[in-house]
Amino acid sequence: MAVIIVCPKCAKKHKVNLDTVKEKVSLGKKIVGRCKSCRHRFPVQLDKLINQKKERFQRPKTSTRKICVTLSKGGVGKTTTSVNLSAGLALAGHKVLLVDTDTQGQSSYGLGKKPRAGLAELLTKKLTPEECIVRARKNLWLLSGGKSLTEIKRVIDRKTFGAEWTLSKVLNKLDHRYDFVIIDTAPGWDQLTVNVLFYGTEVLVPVALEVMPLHGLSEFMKSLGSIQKYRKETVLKYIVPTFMDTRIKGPSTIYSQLKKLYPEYICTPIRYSESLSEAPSYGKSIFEFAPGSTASADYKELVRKVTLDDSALL
Amino acid sequence: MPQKKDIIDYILADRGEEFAARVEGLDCLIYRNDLGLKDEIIEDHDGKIRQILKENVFVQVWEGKAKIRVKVSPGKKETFSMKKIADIAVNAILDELKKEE
Repeated sequence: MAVIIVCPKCAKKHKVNLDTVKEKVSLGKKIVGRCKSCRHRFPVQLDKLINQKKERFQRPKTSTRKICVTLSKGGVGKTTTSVNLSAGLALAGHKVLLVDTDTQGQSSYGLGKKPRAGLAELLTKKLTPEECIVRARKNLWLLSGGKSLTEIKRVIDRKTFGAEWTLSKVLNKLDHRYDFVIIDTAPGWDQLTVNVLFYGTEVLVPVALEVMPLHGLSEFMKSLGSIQKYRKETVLKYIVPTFMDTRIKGPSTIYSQLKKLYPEYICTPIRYSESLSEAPSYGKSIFEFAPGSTASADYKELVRKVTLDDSALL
Repeated sequence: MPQKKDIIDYILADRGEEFAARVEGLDCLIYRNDLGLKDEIIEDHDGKIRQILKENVFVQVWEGKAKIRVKVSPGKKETFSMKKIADIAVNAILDELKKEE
């Protein structure tokens, strides 16, 4: 049997044949791995990896989890979080579809892809899912957004019945192929965002630790109440503090207050890192661009929180 | 309840005021008003600074510098009399002196 060991520093995967380390394991010796790529040395918990592999094969396929990454306030890190959460889930071995519902279409840019077609062509049935969905990485597929989505808003407006289900009708047919569907939304509150919240079941809100984004969060939570009158399945699951600057007092104070207010939703903050703003220029996720950065560690923690798997990406 | 076909229009127009209760704590954090704030005494920097929050007046007393800073957040009340602020500040200093005794 072979297991995959992931370097905690550069995320490089190494296939290890268990027969080669059988002797050490039986003697109960500690096993230390050395990354062939970055030469980093790290302890390997082999028994844990073996158990995980067994569990993965035994685990029945659960239904697809649909996570909307949304907040009406712009500039809080929605796209950054969507891209890196998707990339992290894919690295952890889950099949992920990232759907970009923003007319800016920056999720594709963040992953270094320039798809010719995307969500708009799929919703208008101009092209098939196979023509619209592109493979961005191993385990990660992308349904891109872009300017053409403005047409979709007009299509939704013209519908006289069930306009809020437009997105669901199309995505429900193909989402069974994935473990996770992550939906990145545009800032604002419009018919497409309502459609996203009628499709998704879990809501993840990235929020910068400043007063204006908090105001956005307050308004969004009220708007979510309006959605829940018609769709009770859509629930707030995660509040992800972003741009956490540990050098100044303000964000830490706001974070501790938020923890007291919403202990069930609040996640480990994503610390401010220059790498996060540089990574999209290279079309890379934070795990590829700066694997040893604090931001990479924080997004790994988010992956563990979302998957409920404490050993994911370790 | 609106008709099914009007759901999107209804949701987009709804201000969700009936859900205001679920964000009351968050609004306190944003607007810094006194809802939910309790009077509290916090000691900081190895007990060298004593911070007192009473009603909407926040007082900091520094040991050694004989310095006092008073910060008033308006909250529900629009104005505070100087007498009220001075009373709270004096009480804070007296508390500090009692502590030294």
